[in-house]
Amino acid sequence: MSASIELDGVGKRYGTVTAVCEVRLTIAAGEFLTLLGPSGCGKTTLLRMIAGFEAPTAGRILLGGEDITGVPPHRRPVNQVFQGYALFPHLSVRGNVAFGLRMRGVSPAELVRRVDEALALVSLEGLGERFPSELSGGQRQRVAVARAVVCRPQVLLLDEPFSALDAKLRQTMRAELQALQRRLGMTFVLVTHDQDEALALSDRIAVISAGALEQVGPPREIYHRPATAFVADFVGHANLVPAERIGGSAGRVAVRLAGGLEAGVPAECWPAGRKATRAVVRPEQVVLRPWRGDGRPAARARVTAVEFRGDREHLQVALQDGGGLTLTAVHPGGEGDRADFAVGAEVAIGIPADHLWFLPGG
Amino acid sequence: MTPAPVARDPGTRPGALAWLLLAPLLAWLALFVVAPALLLLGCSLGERDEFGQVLWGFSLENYARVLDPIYLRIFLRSLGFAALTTGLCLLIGYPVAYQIARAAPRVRELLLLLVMVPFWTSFLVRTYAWMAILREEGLLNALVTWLQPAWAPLGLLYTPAAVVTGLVYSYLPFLILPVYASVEKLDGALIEAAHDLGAGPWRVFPAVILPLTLPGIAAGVTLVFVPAVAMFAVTDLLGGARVPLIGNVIQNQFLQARDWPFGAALGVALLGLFLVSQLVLRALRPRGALRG
Repeated sequence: MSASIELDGVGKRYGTVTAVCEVRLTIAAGEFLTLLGPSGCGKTTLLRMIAGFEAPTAGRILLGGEDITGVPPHRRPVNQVFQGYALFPHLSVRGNVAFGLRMRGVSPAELVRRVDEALALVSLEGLGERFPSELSGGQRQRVAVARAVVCRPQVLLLDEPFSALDAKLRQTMRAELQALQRRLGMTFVLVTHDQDEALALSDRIAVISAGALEQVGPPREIYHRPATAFVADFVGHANLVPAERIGGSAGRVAVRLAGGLEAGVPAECWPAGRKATRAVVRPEQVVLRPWRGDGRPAARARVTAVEFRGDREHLQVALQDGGGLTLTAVHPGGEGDRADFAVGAEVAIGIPADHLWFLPGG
Repeated sequence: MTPAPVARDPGTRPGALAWLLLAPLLAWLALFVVAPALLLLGCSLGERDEFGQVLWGFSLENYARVLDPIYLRIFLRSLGFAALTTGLCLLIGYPVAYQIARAAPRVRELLLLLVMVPFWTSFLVRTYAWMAILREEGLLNALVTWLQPAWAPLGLLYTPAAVVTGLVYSYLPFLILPVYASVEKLDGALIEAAHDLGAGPWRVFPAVILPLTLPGIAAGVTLVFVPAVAMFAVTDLLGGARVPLIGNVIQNQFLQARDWPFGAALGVALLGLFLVSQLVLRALRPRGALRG
């Protein structure tokens, strides 16, 4: 696949404040890429620079190999779905969708055809004469998407497109958006702070913190092999457990985790040359059993808190000899064994070695 | 948008509190707007006796006189002056209001203050100041004499230009403030969306900014046009007797000619004109603008 967007050392400074520092990122044509990060991390500034609303103070932005750094937004073959949608309140749904085509001087016959096509694409046929104020949140989002894709941009930018919707609708719209992207084969760049959204939708995720890229990769890689403690903690929940290398042979490394658990892991999981680092243990990787006094390979712990989540329970367990280390574990929310995992209960903790990941940077 | 239903206290008459809160306004309107208007209407149907007293009756005599070409011409001239004033106010005031609304908060406050500073001085004093500026021995002519003696003196005072200058000066803030309010409410994301969809700087204005600030323009135009039609102080002072407008004629009927019924008829005609123009404006308002 050819490169659609190339961010070549793109940076943005406001006076002495650095909002985005020299980002290098290539987005392939037809890719669904998500810029994920907490609010204020610079992801929106990055998106606005791609759209042309902000000029970078360093670097170049290439679109299909062409430098568009100095091109104003109205001349970029890039369209955006705005946060809160920014639909024109004085125009009907049709008027909104036709706006971009009018500005491009598309002939009346083609305009009608393409507006119809775009409305059909988002299943809004028959609502063309409505005004934005007469639409539901989900319908508004569809208008915003139709308005942006009708001009057939090379890249569609989406700025927190689901933030105005309630949880249930968000799920539906997410699925619709993904289906739409597959059908159009268009490059999508989505900005969000919601890791679920990022994991569910993207081909690749770029995790951003404090204006810099932390890690770029497919959702599974980001989740299972986080490059930094920030990524591990921001994407999903992570127990960061101190770990040290105690030996190794023939492609395996023997590791001791805080709390006394020992494991043999494949050598490629352990950062080469490091004596100690931290293991990323996802809550669902922690295996819990009622404590029967049976020792290894399990560690002894006490349940300190239980959070009911419907289909599962999140347990906080304090390791007995882990130096005060507390892990979060997930337990299926069954009713049968509730007493065994109630607050105060003693449990045995196991961490299977096969999926352990160790932070390269400690 | 449908208005949110007002929570009502069960047991009391629906909206009793609302009526109570509105009472001062309603009383004020009834006493000082509706009653005088009815009085004016009644008066306009009467006649004057030889001493200038109003004889109440029912005759359309005065309205026939209103349609006299002399007065129609003055009506038209007044409307023309007011339209020119409004147009100039819009031309000068809209960009000013737009820039104020888009300025940084601290600058914005300062600029708004500057727009309102003239109100701290009496309106008449300010109009006299314009006389001092435009007069033959005035400031402007002194400047012209100094720069280009061949042109001096310019006969500026007591011309239509002086009247329009005074009117524009007086009413400009009444246009700036409502336009400012509507520009300030304008969501910047809409302008960005328009740029994003291919509208260059010159096309964003007619396509998005203008239609969305239309309510402010309509309010500003009304606030300038309506009083400008009936203005008599500025036209008196800066236009002398050479440019009589309908406001001056009405004033004369009441104060000099002591023909109250005819003055009232002229006033009612003016009122009718405004009512009709408001209804036309309302009918022309686009559908989307009525909504949120």
